[in-house]
Amino acid sequence: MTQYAIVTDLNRCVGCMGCTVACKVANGVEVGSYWEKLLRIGPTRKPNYVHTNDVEMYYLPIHCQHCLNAPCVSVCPTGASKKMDDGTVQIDKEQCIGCQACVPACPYGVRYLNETTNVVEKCTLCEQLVEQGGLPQCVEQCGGRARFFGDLDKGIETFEAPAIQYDMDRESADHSYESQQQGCRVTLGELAEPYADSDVYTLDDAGNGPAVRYILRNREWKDGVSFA
Amino acid sequence: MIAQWPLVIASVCLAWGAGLFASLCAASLAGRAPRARIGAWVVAVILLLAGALGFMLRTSHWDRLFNSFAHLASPITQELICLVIVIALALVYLVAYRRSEGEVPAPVSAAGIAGAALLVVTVGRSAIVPATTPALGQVMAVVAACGAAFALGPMSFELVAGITDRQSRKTALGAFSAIGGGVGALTTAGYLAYLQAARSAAVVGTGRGVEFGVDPTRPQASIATKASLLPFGGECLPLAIAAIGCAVLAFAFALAACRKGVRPALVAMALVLAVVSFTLLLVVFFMTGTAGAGAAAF
Ligand code: SF4
Ligand code: SF4
Repeated sequence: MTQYAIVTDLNRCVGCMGCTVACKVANGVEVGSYWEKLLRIGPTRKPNYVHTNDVEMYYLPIHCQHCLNAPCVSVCPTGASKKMDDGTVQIDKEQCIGCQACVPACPYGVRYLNETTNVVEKCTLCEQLVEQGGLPQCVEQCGGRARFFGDLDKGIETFEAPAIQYDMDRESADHSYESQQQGCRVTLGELAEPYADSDVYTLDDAGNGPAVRYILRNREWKDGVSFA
Repeated sequence: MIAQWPLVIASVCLAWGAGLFASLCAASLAGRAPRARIGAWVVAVILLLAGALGFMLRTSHWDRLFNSFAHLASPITQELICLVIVIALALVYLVAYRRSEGEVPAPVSAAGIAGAALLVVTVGRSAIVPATTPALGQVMAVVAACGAAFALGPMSFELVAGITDRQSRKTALGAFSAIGGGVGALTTAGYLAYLQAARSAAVVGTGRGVEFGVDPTRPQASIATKASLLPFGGECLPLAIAAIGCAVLAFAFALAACRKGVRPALVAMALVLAVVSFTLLLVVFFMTGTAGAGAAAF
């Protein structure tokens, strides 16, 4: 089994919205729709609050969680929303009738009707790039190197992000971007600060089993956040 | 979340039409109100077709409409299949009515009641419930839809009977419209109370999260408050109270109509109030159903 997913290390996220912009560019997401959006959670008082600066906050990138028991898939009357072999949830745009039943069925409000094509769309985990060995654009362009992509069944420490390769062969005639980029990956296990299992969170799970993970250390995870 | 009007209209019309068709079949079985039957049949079929139109209004690709019968496990597919079955049963009823000069065979009427009941169950499953609803919530939603259909069906049959057969001083279905109104009021209040309790426990009880999320892509949007996720809180409070109030008043008018014999004006008042009540129930459901917050309680 494979279950592709993304892990975001929230202690590294700087809220630059690079992921949001990269997603829009890579996938041609319509104005007003966000396959990837960022919430600011807080500021809230720390547990030992004394002074006004005893506050904390974090940024929370929200996108399709590629749920294990995806409610959007079970309500879809056409079967256009599907759970794929790689664990991602995809929408067949030839089959979708744009009934939008899946839109309120998703607990995280990540589905949008494309007003031009009249079908519903959402994060695809950049299947067009992943199929060719690439990474989702939000992972690729993350300004804080906070996002990692991989197979949940192999453990989140194996999830990968791009790394900069400096030891290139300067004698070689090939200075192309691709030659530097290939294989230049760093794993979460190699890069991230230590974290405990209790630091790994999912969004509120109503039995839908969100596959996406978030790491948050030394701060209180706020559940019950509104995503609409 | 804002109310999904096409879904609200479709659900109200389907529950109403199915309730009326079941009442018509029940009247045929009991040999009551023969003059009202064709009128009730026409109104029921119009309501069922209006429900289908409500679904189509929600759909952006009419050219692919038949795709919606593709996923049998989907509550919407099941609802559409039941709708087709009920319309077919209504046609069978009409043919039987014409052939036997008003005396429809009992199996046809019984099948009509069963089909209509099945349709109402699927309406409850598909319209009120996102798939993340826990088992109890799904049962409560189906019960709420059945309660609404039980109120709307007999009331509208009584109204049609009252208009088409002014000579009769008796009610067409006995106390059924009053009983239906009472059941409808109970299920409406019960469903809203369930929503309030389930969401309070899951969202408000934690005291965390909601009211902290700011979406920089919508800087002008207000932050979701805990109260906005509860039927009896925020801007939904008057709507929830009105839903229950209308259901109770509908019951009172239906009861008065039963006591005083056929009084179309009283039944009409009861019916309008019952329609408004079920519509408000669905609107409250959608408006408090902000995605994500306390999803476990939905
Ligand atoms: S996050 Fe929403 S759209 Fe994505 S799989 Fe889960 S329910 Fe479906
Ligand atoms: S809008 Fe498309 S993907 Fe969503 S439920 Fe309808 S047919 Fe399925």
